[in-house]
Amino acid sequence: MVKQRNFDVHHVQRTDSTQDEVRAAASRRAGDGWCCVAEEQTAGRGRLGRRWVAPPGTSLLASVLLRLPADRLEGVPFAGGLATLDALERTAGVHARLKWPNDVLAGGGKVAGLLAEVVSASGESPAAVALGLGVNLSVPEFPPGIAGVSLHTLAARPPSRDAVLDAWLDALGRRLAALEARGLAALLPDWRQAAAGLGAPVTVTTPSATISGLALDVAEDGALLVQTDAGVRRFLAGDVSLGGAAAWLS
Amino acid sequence: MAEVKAELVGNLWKIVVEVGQAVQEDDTLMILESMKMEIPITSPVSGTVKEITVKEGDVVQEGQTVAIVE
Repeated sequence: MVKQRNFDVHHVQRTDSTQDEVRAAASRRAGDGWCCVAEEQTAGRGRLGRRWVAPPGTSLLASVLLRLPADRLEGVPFAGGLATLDALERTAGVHARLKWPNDVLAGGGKVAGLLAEVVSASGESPAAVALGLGVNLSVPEFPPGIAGVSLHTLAARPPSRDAVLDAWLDALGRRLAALEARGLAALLPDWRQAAAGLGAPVTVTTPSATISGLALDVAEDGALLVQTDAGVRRFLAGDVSLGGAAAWLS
Repeated sequence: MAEVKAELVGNLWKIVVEVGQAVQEDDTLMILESMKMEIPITSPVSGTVKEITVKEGDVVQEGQTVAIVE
């Protein structure tokens, strides 16, 4: 039987990073669903240590502690991305898409991003994951080179931060329940429906190479499959750029 | 002596220790990235890093030895 998730939301005015708040909570043995939402982050980050910059009060900045079986870990980024699409559709009527695996695109740019960090020690079960979400709600402008889009420019009636958070947590609970019950396979049909760039040219940049090809699909383990001149390549990580467009930040 | 093994397949993003460095049990030795999720590989024992068998950018397989701590 799949458990029902209950989220325990803690509001803070200012923090270095909501991800760090969740890490600290995990070390205090906080339970599954412990969530931190902040007005402002002074050291917000995206993946690989990149900065996530948001003027105070203009974004939903939240992280949640998830405890789930270690063999379901690979599905967390997919569940988080799909839940974000669910929330934007429900609260703002915005139909966003996902660039592998979970960059949230709408209106020609990135409207939201997610960061998943495993925080438990190796071998610990259930595993603990800090899943962070940043949604551009009313960001007036983005720094040069950032292909960001703010929700207030897309929605006829922009939703409140709390409305988006509530909808995200609700959707996340449902997506994670499906993941825990049936694995990543339970999420991939919806992910494929929502994917941006499948069947189109992509460029994948890894620390060791830049590879161009045709994005074919995602494998059952979530890897991105790209048809290249040298055959089909599997990617577990990397920055994906769609077509000839400028690289999306990820 | 303890062999440190990766528990998941992923790209090795960052090695945060050096050979010869003293580490405590559960200290993070390196960080994998898979599906844009960051996954620490931690030391199973306290000791000294004797060997690192991978380099940043490598694709690491599940069960692969990535370091030795003694």
